[in-house]
Amino acid sequence: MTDHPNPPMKPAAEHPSSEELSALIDGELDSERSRQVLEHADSCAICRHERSSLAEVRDLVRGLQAPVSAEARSETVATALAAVAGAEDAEDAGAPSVGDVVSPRRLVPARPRRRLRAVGIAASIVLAAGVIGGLGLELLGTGGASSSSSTTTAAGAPAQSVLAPQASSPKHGIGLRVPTGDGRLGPLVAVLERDEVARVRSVASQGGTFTVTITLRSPRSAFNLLRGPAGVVAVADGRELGVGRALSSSTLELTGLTRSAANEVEHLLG
Amino acid sequence: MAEACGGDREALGRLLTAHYDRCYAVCRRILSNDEDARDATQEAMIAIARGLKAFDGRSSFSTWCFRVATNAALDELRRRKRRPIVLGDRLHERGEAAYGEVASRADHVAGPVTDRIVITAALERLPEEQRLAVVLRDIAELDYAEISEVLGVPIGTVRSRIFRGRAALAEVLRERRGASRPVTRPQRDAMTSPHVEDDEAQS
Repeated sequence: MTDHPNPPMKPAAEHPSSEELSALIDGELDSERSRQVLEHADSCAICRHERSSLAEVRDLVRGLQAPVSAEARSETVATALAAVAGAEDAEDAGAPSVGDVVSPRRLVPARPRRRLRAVGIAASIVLAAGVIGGLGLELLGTGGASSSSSTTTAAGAPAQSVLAPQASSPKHGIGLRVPTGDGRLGPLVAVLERDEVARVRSVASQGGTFTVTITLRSPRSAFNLLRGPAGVVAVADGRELGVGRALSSSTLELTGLTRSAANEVEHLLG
Repeated sequence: MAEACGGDREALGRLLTAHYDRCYAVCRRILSNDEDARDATQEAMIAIARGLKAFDGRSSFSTWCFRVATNAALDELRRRKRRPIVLGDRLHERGEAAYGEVASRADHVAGPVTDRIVITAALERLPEEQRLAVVLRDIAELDYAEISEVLGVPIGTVRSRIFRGRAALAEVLRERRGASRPVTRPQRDAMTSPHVEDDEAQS
């Protein structure tokens, strides 16, 4: 029952409150008060009508079915199973636990996303070709990816396949670019979008520069993507934002950012 | 469930599949957005899979799943609030537009299907605190004590929010049907009920 005492006993002739009628249909009145209210309602058309009206609303809400896609269901279950398997594998390998990057309030882990699987594929291609000397990050505006979508990765794989989701759902985000051997930034191989695969966890300042820590939501893919020995270069519109590195399989840290660059990253991935 | 706890992946898959639809329904009604609801449900499924061994059996397994799903949805809701950029505005606009469309479609039509359409739209328009309470009670089927725990508010507040939410929904139905008599008595209750509208006083 409630931690709030029921109202004092009322004579049968006095109407119970509407709130009590609502609690009654939930079985949340104590037995004595339930008996009184029911007794009253038996002889009171107004209260009977109100009770049935509230019960009708309850039944309608209960009956609200959210349409479920069978594909979404099976994909989600498969992802959950894979995440559990991944965590166990990571523990076996001594890699940082997913639990490091989620709210301590409860157990909700990082969530692999469709887009991140594409990122993982791109990373695998790049790693296989042995060309990672670092990754560039650039901030993208709406449709920014499409301008790079005709490029190819250093390994010769078309970037188009990686960027297809971006093209169909243009949002702001951070693009990852592979530096080429001559010091320029190579093609876009992946996009980090807020709530898609990355989220700013913290922003700190020290000595006039800012450090932004970003949680990546698919640790294993992120680990593959960011484990290259060199730092990550963050650029926006050709302007360097800062340098980053992977702190763990699921955490990326950008350092040396100006206040406006940190704000921009936070705005995009906050 | 014992098999799933014991590490049987197939059993775990069956368990998650069996609870997916209801968890999604909870997330969907809390978040009012399909994409966010899918995200939250995915987080919930992973959390359930990982937390299975820690399930203490104090509540039914279904109830525990709903609580996990609710927390995932609430987290998603908080994240959405922390970025009051275009997305929120668009969602709001979309909600308003959808409601207008639903309302016009539902005009001059009566019946259970219309009722569901109207209730769906009206539920999304409820103040968030009332929507959460109603959803947790009627879709997640948590009791008042559990809702109190999940939302971090006193049970009296839960009771009040559920009633106010239902009363508002009933009022929408009544208006749609053109009923002449009010189905609730908020004014009288305001004078007689010690629970009304005062969350702070009950904290």
